[in-house]
Amino acid sequence: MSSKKSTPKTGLAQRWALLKPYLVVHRGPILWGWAFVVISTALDQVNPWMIKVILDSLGAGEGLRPVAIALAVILAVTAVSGVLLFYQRLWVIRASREMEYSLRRDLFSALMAQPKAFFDKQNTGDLMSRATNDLDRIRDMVGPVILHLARMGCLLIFTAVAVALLSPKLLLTGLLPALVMPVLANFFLIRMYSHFGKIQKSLSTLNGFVQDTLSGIQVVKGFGRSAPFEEKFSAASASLRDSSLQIARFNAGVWPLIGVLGVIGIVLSAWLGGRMVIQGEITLGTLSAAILYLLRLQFPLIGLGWVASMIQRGNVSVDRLLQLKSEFIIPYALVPRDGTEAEPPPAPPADFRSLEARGLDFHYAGGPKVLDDISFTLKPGETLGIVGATGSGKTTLAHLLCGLYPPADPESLQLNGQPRNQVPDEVWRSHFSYAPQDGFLFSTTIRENILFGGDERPPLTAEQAAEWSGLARDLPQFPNGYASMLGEKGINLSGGQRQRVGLSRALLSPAPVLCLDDTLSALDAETEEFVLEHLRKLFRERCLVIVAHRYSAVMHCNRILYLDNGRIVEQGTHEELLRLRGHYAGIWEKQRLSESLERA
Amino acid sequence: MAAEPYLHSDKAASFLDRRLWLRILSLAADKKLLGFTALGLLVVSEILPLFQPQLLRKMIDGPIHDRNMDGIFPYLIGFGLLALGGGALEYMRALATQRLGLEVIHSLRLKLFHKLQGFHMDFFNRTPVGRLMTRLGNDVDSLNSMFTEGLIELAGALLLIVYAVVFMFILDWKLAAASLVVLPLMLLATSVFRKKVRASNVHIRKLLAEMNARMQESLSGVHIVRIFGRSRDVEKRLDGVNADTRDAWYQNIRYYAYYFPTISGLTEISLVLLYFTGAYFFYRGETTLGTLVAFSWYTGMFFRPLREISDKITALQSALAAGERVFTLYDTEASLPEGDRTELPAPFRMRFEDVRFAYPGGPEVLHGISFGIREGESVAVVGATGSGKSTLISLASKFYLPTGGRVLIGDHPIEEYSEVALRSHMALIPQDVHLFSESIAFNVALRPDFDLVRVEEVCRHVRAHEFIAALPEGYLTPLRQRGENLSTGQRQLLALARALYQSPRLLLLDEATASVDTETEGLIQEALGKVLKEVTTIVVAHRLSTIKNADRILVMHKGEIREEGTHQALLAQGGIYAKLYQLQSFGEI
Repeated sequence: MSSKKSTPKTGLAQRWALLKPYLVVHRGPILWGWAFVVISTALDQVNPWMIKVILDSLGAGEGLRPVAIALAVILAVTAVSGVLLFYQRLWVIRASREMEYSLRRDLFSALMAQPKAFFDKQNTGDLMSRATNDLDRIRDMVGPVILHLARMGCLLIFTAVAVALLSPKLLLTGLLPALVMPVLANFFLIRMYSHFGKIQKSLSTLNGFVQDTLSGIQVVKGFGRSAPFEEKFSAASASLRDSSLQIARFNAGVWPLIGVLGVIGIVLSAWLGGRMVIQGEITLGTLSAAILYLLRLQFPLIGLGWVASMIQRGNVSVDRLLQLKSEFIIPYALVPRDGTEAEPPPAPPADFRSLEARGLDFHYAGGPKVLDDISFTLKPGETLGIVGATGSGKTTLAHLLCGLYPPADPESLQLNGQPRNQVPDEVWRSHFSYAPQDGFLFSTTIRENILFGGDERPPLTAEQAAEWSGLARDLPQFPNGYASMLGEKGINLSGGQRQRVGLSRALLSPAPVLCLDDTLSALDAETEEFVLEHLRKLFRERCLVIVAHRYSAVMHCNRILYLDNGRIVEQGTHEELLRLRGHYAGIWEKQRLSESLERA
Repeated sequence: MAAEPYLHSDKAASFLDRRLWLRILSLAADKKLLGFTALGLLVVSEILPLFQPQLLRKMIDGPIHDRNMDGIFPYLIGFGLLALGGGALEYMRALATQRLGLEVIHSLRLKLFHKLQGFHMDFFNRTPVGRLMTRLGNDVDSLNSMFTEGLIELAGALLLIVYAVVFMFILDWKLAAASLVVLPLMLLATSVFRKKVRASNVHIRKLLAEMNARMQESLSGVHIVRIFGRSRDVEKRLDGVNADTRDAWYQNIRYYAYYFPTISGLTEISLVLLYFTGAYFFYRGETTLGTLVAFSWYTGMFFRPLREISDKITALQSALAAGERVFTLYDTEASLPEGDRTELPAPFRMRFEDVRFAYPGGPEVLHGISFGIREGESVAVVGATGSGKSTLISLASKFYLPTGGRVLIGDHPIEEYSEVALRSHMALIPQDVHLFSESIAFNVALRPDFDLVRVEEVCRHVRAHEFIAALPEGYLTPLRQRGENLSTGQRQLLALARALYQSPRLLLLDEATASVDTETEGLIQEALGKVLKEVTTIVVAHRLSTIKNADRILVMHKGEIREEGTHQALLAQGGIYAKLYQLQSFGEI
């Protein structure tokens, strides 16, 4: 699985290339925001200076006037810097959200463009975490984190300049310990990350054990083994606690240490500054302003560790996106679109004359052959039944017909005499509609799910489709009729109901060929007969491909293929196959018997 | 759905829910010493920084004012001691709180896990494992952060503000009053900000959940989207909620963008007020330069705790919600009545007397089943899918209690037996063999302190020893991904070995229908044949050979026993069994 692969090391250039187009679009607000950072941090230096002015004037007894002027300056500067602070946050962080939005949109489009083979390799949870967590981290990196970094950089420089202007000596004593902080914080953080690895490991051991135990709870309980399992759980939980405690020790130590360092800077300055004041080298106001400057630095510097770890996380996430991008089967450029590009012209109405398989072979990437030398022809008005044991390749064949996978040899599958690779994907798929075994419904209303298949073309409405699929029989069970919501916050359908919603959806599609992938398996015999009868009527001039376990679903087909290990071992009409007295006939007999038993 | 209260806990946790708070605090009840230590350290460690401006003031008004070079030293030592002491206390405080949180959640996890072990199977059949994992994982962790960061840090931030106010008033009440005029405004701004952000967060969380759900289902149903040519519609739908989320964030960003300049602006204004009044009093000789400098230091102390309060409260909110969910699970009553009988009768016997059963909320699936089994007997249960065979096994193992009639072990109803004691005398082999991602030996013994000699003995008995010995680490070979590296047949042999290790008085076996290769099939039949002769067994049988080997056969049909007898007798009867026998394969239909 791709998630298990270690993330390859990528260079800064590649990371930048991924983000650049999304950031360039918003360069205006970002650059203005940064400019405001520079200006506002510079303005922030004015206030402590004004305090110096005030204290000096008080010390010299110059009256209230200079104090008032200095205070007026403070107010003015505060107002301006407040406005700048507002806009820098708004613009830069907004731009990061904007980037997140476009990147997610484009990533999703890129994923939707990938063929089924891509999704076979990927696990949905993993894709989701790229489209959510990773994007969040990248967004945080280019937004708040970089903003904070910029502020801190400017603050350090401007404070250094201001303190140097006050007294170069104080700059040395005050800032030296402060400069050790980031170094120290980083040292601790690196140590911490090695411990984080341990925590992650304990955590996944614990989670794995819980999942394992709960999935096998019947065994655990069935053998009366709760006690030893609880012991094992307790040990795993304790090991997580202990490795967390190690981190806690670092955590508990690093922040106070940084605080102490900051105070040492101030103490040194107070000592040196105090002497200088006494010796008359500087004024008391200068010393106080210097201490205030240093105090203002303390908090942002502590944030440096946070910034470092957030950038680290952001980088890992960019790498994970790059890795995902490199696994795309259909290359897809991630560049922001302005959403104004024209809709592609609708596919021309499907014109179906024939579907032909000639020695069709297929295997999944890296797997053994699943379909082996399949041949048949399907013409308008015909029905094709596909039966065989589990794992004989029935569903794979249906997927190939519907255009979800390309056959090994494009010539071996032809639509209207054209090989598979010469028909564009959308055109090919517009010829097929599909009703899967498990429904695959979306969490919206039943009606919306049906309409997903195609537009209503009176007299064929969603209600009509539901009628023909036999779904209408269950209508009284749905609290809001067809407007009932499905899924988490709505009603939960039974397997058979899901199948019939899926079938109604397929019926609404105008496609000339309908594939039923064991869609009728959960229906009772009577409903199945009802549905099949309507289908035959509806598809008098179109084609039905019916994959089934129960032979009653295919017995009326023009031709039935019996698959075994991906090969056609028997074929013909129902009667022909019965006369053959082979596999088909044998299983038919069993099914008939067991049906009569059920009725007994 | 209404019958599953433990699945739904959308109830919003109220911040003022005293009961919930008390309950969360009570988790730390047996860690009182640690808790009070943390609290005590907090009270002391937060006060130390407040003395620093005081020292500075005294230094400025004392030695510096008097130009006494040597007088500075004691102050510097004072500063150093304050810093070191504060750092040390802070270190101990952080350690104590972290330890407290970790200990609390460790014991909470154990309690929850223990509680889950007692829940009946119906609970597990209805509750997705993922949900329970979230309770035991994320939600419990959220409670941890409540102890470590939330409560203590919040208390610390509040304390700091209170201390600062007190110190300022003691130092000079007039200056304090002047510069603290803005404090109520700061609190007000913080409270407004918090409310707005909270509402906005709720809105954003909803949108995020919807967006994630849409992405998730589009990605997992991508082939359906593809076949119906609906990619563009799906993309548009996602774009809608994606854009809504972005816009909701804009609002959120705006709140933050307003809040920070407001607070820092108010801080500066308090500085202005301080110096304005300060200058006035200074000229009247009522205050000193040192006091003014100390005050400038104090006014800067409010910004950080205020911000922390607003941050922590948001975090606490979600921790409370997590706590609510954890407690809902914890309070779930999903255990069967527990009996106190621990000894099974010798010789063993079990009787079903007119047993009726319906799954909770479902129709009756067993309609008056009566049969008995004695020590050494083997009973095979056959019948079509859905005839109630597996339910019978569940009742015999006390996974469910009958809704009518009685299941007797010896002369006592099964309710009177302790679940764990009963099952430690039984072995249950369900249809799908579940293997744990542990060593083979663990999987056979189902306990970490396995007896390797006995494990090997039972494995030899069921002829599993050969393939196990061929594995790289033999019996200690860890199974990957729940035994994905074993074949179906090998898994079944392990399940049999597991049952024998238990030396069960009663073996309950739901035979697997999956076909295995002929060689293993032979091995399984041989092993099963042995077991059926040695152990009292009720087996839901699919294989003809198993059925033939059984002492007695029950033919189930639509929740009733229709026929009962030996293979030969039933064939002669010419009823359902005879027909089933014609079909040859009992499970594949």
